[in-house]
Amino acid sequence: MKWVQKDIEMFQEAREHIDTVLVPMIGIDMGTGMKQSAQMQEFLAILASEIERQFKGRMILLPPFTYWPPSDSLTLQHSALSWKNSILEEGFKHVFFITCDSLWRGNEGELGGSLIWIPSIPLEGLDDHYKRELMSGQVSQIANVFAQKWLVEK
Amino acid sequence: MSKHRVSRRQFLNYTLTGVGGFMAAGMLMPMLRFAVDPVLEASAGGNFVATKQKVADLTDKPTRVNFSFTQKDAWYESDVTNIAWVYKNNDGKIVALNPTCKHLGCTVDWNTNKDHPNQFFCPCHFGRYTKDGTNVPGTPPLKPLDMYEYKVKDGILYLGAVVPHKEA
Ligand code: FES
Repeated sequence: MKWVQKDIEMFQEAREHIDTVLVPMIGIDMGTGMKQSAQMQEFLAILASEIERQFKGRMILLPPFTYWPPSDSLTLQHSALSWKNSILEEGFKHVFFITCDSLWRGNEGELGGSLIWIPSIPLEGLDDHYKRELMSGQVSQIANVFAQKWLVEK
Repeated sequence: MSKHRVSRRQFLNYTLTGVGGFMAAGMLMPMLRFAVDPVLEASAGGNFVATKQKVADLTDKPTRVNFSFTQKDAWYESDVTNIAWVYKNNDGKIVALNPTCKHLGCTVDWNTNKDHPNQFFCPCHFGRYTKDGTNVPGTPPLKPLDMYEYKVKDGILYLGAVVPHKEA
């Protein structure tokens, strides 16, 4: 479900079935990395919305966790962690963060298994058909992560 | 009088910003597919869309067929890609199912659950449907999968509006 009124109404009616929250994480860079930051954002937005489409009935897609390049990544880890804890306190069972920012690579800290890192692929100049193939490949890989988690707990 | 002029400029400003926003959205969004109410989709898509699927290649095993069309809603004109699972039934008739789970709208897949082969499986709450789209009792969905209207032209499959399940 998306963070829009219509979907949230549906959520409230079927709350017991929705136990997973997906949070995209996006770093803003207005310096030398500006173009790349925008490109990652674009890629991640599409990816997240595709995942949402596939798992609409069990997952809420939150607005992105957005940050400036941190002076120390620990502070950033902490604020992500506090998102996670707040979500868990609301009664959700699974929280996943998804990001393309290499900052998080090997830097998951206490986010541990909640963090899904994927390299972003520049979509610019690719033809539509190929773009779709490529995206659906990525989506199905990530889909597996969720499906596995859910199956295990069943 | 001068007050009037300012407000006109403001008006222009707003308008132009609006147009700019629209254009930006147009550039960013074409790939995003929106999960839309099947009903809305039906009225928007009223006509049939050509797929790449040759009818002669269809078998009794459901095949995934993607088809895209442009959809307008209040804000965006976007390229939507829909999925259909298509096969020929025992009488050789084509059946085109919409994979949106009738429980809470996840996307079902064919034959992905080892314990229940040859069924449509929903990963979200383990809903299941038999090949003809009938929901398996005891799993969450309470209704069979919707279908697409279809037609065949020059050996190519065309898909149209989403309609409630009907006996093939
Ligand atoms: S959305 Fe398919 S079983 Fe719940």
